[in-house]
Order: sequence, then C-alpha cells, then structure tokens
Amino acid sequence: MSERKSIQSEAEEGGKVREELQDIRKVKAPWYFDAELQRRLADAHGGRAGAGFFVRPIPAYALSFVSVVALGIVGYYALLRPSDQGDTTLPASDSIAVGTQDRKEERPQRFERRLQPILPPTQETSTPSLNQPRQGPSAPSNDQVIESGAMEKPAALDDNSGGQNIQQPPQDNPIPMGAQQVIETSRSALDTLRSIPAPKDTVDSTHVRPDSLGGRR
Amino acid sequence: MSVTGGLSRKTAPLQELSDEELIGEFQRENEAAFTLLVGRYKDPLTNFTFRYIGDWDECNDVVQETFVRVFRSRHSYKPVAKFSTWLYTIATNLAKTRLRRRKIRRFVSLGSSHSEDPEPLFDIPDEEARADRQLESSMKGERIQKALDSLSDKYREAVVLRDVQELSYEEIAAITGLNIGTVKSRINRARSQLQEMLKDIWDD
Repeated sequence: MSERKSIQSEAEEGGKVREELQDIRKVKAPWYFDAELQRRLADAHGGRAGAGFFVRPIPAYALSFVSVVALGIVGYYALLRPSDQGDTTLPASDSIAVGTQDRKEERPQRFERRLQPILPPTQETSTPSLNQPRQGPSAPSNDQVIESGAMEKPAALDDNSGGQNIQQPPQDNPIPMGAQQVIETSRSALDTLRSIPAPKDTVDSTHVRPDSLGGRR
Repeated sequence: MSVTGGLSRKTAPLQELSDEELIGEFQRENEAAFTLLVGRYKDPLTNFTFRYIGDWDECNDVVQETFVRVFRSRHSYKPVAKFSTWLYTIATNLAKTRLRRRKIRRFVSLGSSHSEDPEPLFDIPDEEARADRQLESSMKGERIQKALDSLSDKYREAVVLRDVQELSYEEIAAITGLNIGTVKSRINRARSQLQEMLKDIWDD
C-alpha cells in the first residue's frame, strides 16, 4: 500500500516536472539561420551548393532600375537612332552632287529608308533595289557600264537636263544608303532610256558632247 | 523564415508532403524539399539542442552542422525510420561530441590554472551580451535550465527528448540506441532529480 502511494506521488512529481519543462519558453532559430546555413553549404560543397535553396526575393528597387534601363535602351533604338540615319548621315558632298531638285524627289525615299534595316555599303551596292526595273540576264550591270566607259549617254542626258552631273563616289568612301539608292534609280532610268532607239528625224538627245566627258575626246 | 515567401509559389504541392516524402524528393535532387525540411525542423531542433547543451553559440553551430550533414548524407537515409528520428540522431551525436569536447576543455583549463601563468586561456564573455542569457530572462526559466545543465548527459538527453520535445519512447529509444525500458528508467531518474532541484519553485 505504501509502495503504491510512493509510486503515485512520484508520478505526480514527474507530471509536475513535465509540465514545467513543457511550459518553458521554446527557443527558436535566430533570424540569420538561413543565411548562415547557405554560407556553410557553399563552403562545404562549392560555390553553387545551397544557392538554389534559399532564394531571396528580388528587391523592388532592383526591378525598377532594370525596367528604367531597359526602357532607355529600347527608347534610344526606337526613337533616336532612325532620326540619326536620316539627314545627318548624308554627307555634304553627296547633297551637293544630287542637287536640290533630286533632293525634293528623294524625300519620300528618305522616309522609306528609315523603315529599312541598316546594311553595310558593300552589301547595299551588290543588292539590287526592288524598285529598279529588272533587265535581262545578258544586260550589263550598272557597274559594268561605268567601267566600260558607257557613261556617255547618261552624262549627255544630264547635261541636257540642266547640267546636273551624277558623280560616282570614290570606292573607299562608304556611300550613304540614301545617296546610293538615288544613284541606282537614276542609273536604271538611264539604262531604260538608252535601250529605247531614238528616231532619226528628231534631235538626238543622247548626243555626246565631248566637254561633258570631262575633257575626254 | 525569409525564404518561405520566395518559395511558396514554387513549392506549393511539396508543403503537403510528409517529412519522409520530402527527403525522398530531396534524394531526387529537388532542392525545394530541403528548404521545406529546414523550415520545419530548425526551430524544434534549436530548442532541443539548446536545452541539451545549454550554450547558445554551440547550439546554433550544432543545428547548422546537422543540416549540413543532412545535405551531405541525404542518400544514406533509408525510409525504414522516421526522418525526425534520423535528424535527432544526427543532432544528438553532434551535441554529445560538443559536450565531450567541452569537458576536455574544462579539464585542460583547470589543469592550466595551477600553472604560474596568470593569463587566462580564454576570454571571459560578457554575460549581458549573451543571447542565451537574454533568452532566459525569467528567473524560473533560468532555474530550470540550470537544473537541466546539472543533470548528467544521459539523463538530460532522455528527459529533454521526452518532456521538451515530446517524442515517444520508441522514437527516443531509436535516437539513443537504447531499449525502451532503459529510456523510461532514465527519464524517471531525471525527473526525480529535477524535482529535487526545483523543489523551492513549487514551494513558492
């Protein structure tokens, strides 16, 4: 009987201790626990270990900064760069050579040019224009005409149309795209005119004046 | 936990998994499962380790090292035991090692105190700045922790696992590697010793 009582009191005491131990405040991990664990994992298993576990939220100011930079880049290419390609890329010598009348005709082309992708001058010269009338495969190209000295008729036509002379730019200088288009269009138009046989009873508009060839006789 | 907010979108289905399923996911290299396990067990493990070791800095170190071991040895876990048992076993073994080292350190420092060198071997930490002292701000909590610290390691281990962590006898037996009878015996002895030490608290 006394033994049972002692067991019972012991259980009660044990219950008290248990209650006290359960009631003491629960200790929690410190706030820097995750960062410390990530650092330890990286130290123990190389730089990438644990890096994917503790993904930190990206701060709002970083996102706004990135968006501002992205907007700036997009805005620069969308707004500023095409206007740079316009009038300012035309060298002064080109505009002098083309003349005021041709420049008026060129304005719509400039507008179209803004929508076209920028290509290097070498590619531009070798690529035929879409507006250019297609000639047969045996027809000489514009460059061949120039090289073979067949500039007589275009030069004469220019002379008759007001003395405006289309100059061939030097090969080492890159030709602006607008000027190149004007030149090519003019050449194709001249080639078309040249292919039409002139009637004999009218004035030969393709008559070559020696002085228009720059002194060549 | 600062990471749970960032991961909640990504790991929504994982949160419903059990610990054993999560460690299985982690064994299949699902990194989010490990984060969830850390989130579930860092607080209980810190509580257990602090009550067992009684030192805040060492407790943190042990819990961190426990999770590093889990990370490293994730493939050695077999689903025959509960994950919590495996985790507490790792933490208990690490804590025992720390306690052994501490005893050796004390022994060495006591031995060297008889030498002629007046310089102390270790700096005495500022008691006010210690986090564990701040944690036990209440007199009662401090008394209980001191009573726990004064128990022998084997009794303290058993009673903390049972009464603080509220694990079952079977889990404690699996963690400590003892049979259930021995576990119960140790728990009872620990309780009676604590009862004796904390008598004045209940008298008040």
